[in-house]
Amino acid sequence: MRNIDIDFKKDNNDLHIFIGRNGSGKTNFMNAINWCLYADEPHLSKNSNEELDESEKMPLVNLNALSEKSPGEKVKVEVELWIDIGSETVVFKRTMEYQVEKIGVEPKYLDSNFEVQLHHKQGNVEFFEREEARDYVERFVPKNIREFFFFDGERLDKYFIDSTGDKIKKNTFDISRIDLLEKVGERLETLSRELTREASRNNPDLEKTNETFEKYGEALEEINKQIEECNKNITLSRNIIRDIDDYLAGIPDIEKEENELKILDKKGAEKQVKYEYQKQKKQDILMDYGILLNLWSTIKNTVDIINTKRENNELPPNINLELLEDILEKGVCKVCGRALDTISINKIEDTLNKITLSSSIAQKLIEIESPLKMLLEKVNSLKKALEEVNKEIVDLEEEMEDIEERKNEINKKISGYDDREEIKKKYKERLDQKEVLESNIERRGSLIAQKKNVEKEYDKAKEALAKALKMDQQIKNFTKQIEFCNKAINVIERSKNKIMNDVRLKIEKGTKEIFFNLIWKKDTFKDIVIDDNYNLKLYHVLDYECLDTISAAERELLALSFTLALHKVSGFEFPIIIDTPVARVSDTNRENFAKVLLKVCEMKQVILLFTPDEFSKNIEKTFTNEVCNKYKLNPSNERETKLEVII
Amino acid sequence: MAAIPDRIYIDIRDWDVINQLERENYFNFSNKTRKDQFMFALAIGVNSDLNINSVNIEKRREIFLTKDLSENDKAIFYAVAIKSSNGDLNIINDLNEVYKIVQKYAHIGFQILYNRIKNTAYGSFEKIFEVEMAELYNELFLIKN
Repeated sequence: MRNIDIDFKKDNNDLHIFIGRNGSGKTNFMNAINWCLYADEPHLSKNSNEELDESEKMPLVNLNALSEKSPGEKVKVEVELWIDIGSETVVFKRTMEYQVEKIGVEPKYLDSNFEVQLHHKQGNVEFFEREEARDYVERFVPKNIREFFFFDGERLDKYFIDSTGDKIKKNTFDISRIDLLEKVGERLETLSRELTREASRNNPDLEKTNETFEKYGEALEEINKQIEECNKNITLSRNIIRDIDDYLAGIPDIEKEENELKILDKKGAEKQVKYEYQKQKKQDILMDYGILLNLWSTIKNTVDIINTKRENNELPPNINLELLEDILEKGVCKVCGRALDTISINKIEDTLNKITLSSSIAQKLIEIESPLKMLLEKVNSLKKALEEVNKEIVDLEEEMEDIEERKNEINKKISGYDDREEIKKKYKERLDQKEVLESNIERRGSLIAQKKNVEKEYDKAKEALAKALKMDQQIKNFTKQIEFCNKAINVIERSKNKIMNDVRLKIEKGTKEIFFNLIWKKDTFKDIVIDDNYNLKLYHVLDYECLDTISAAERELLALSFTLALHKVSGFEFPIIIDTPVARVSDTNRENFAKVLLKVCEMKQVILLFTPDEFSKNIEKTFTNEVCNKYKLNPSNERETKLEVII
Repeated sequence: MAAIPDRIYIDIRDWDVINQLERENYFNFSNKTRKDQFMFALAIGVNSDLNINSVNIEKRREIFLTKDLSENDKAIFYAVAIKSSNGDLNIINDLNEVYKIVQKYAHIGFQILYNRIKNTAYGSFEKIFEVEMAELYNELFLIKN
């Protein structure tokens, strides 16, 4: 883009829209404003020249304009911002001049200039240059809070994910404009230290007390540094985790899933072995059971015959024939050891004759009686064993089915990801980063505890020093000055805290008012609180904190409300410029958010930079008749974009 | 008196049934001893109530040695022989005849098994057999009582 003059004329609303695909120059527009005010381009895209050396960077000059110049000719980059504030107009103007040395070589920097003009109603113009001009910008929109005026949808979405209480506290500090107080406080502290050192120079006791005081002061400073370091690391880890979470959104932990698959495979194989074993066991039992049931009537029949014979005394008693024959042959009782008398001999011979007279059939029947009865009894135990093995098989089948089902679920979940190794790497990285985060949080906790102890010692030392100073008459004059410094430091500290606290409460109130005015869900949220530690909390009507569970659109609205509240509290009159405002908002909520932006532009100039995809039919419909200016960025070639005025 | 045989025979045709049962591994047949396979067929044959008088084992082949018979197996053989002789206990003095009887019943059993396998869908024989055994159990113990 070159030689462009864009007039953001206000209508009923103050809404202005740019539509352009990626690379068409939307971000250049943001950068041009930033460059004009602060001489830098903070919104370079990830693949742009951000990380290149100064010599490798693309020049600021329009490349086509450059190519039209001959060596030795001069070329100028200039951005002017005209801002109407009431009856006055402020003009910010930055120029940079180059000279073309050779075609294709970066032009040589010659000179730059920055000035601010204040056009009064009466036609008078006030000029501010150099330091004065820079101071004017700092008063107008301080550089360190510009992120609340120029940002993209992603930043809105992530604001409360990134923002710890410390960050919100810093933002509050920045807009409270108490840096001057802070500087005065620091200066007074230095002065107080110097005076104390001077006073104690000729008094060894006092010097010792002062050394102790300074020792604790240094320790406190060191702890504060370490806490600050921890905070930086915590924020860094959270950002890395958030980026990984973004990358992994909806993507399963492939390594974890694959490990579970392996475990399931192993379990499945074990169950299969058990299942096969139980199936075989069942076959064995079924066969034995089948044999017995099929033979049961036959066996029972024989057992019944044996029982009848026994009842009819047709079967001999159960006597050991070999034993009787042996006793008879040796003539000695094998049970009691005495010699057999005639009566005993006759009795044994008589028994033996009776048995011999019994048929061999009866003997056989006696032999098979016991096994057959045992077989009959075995039927029920086999039946029970069969039932048990059946239950075991059903249980195993169910378990194997569950395993297969889970395996299918996992396979379905992890199928279709070609970059599995990268996903695994990211999950591992997230795990590592979480460990780092936790260790830093833990370390910060211990440092804070340590700080409290050191603070106690520091206060004691301070008190001791004050006492010692008072007691020494020779240094009365020093003491007075030191006391004055300390009192002033206390007043400054209290004032700082009071201002910060007031600003915090005002931001809280403003955020609440704007959010509840703009939110499309009227019965879901109850309250917004920025607590003493500057943590922002959003409460559901059911009284629980719900910041982590709200939708992207609601999150963006909350951040926008917070931002607008900051604008209001800070009193800085500057438009709000949002790049890709609804890129991260889902379809259903895009329209809601567009309506919110429409309401915002009633109170403030809003410039929105959309991609064509983002600027859907619904959004277009919402903005019809409400937009003051609508432009389309049409890249004519790789070097230049034409600005088409639609409205 | 004829010498007591030291082995048990089956009809040579029954080997096909054994092979098939082993191939499809019904009742874990491939891991069973020949004696167990024989006892299974014997039980099926006995329960069929078919008359063994018409059974003629034309070509026989030994299946196992009688020394491998347990006390239970022997008791079963005698019980089968007694039942087959309609309670005539003299049969148990004729071990030769006892063996002949059980061999014939086993042959009937193998033939029944053959027909069942042939007429049952692959893999379902054991399931059907299990159902039949449950019915037989009910018939023997529950319904009667």
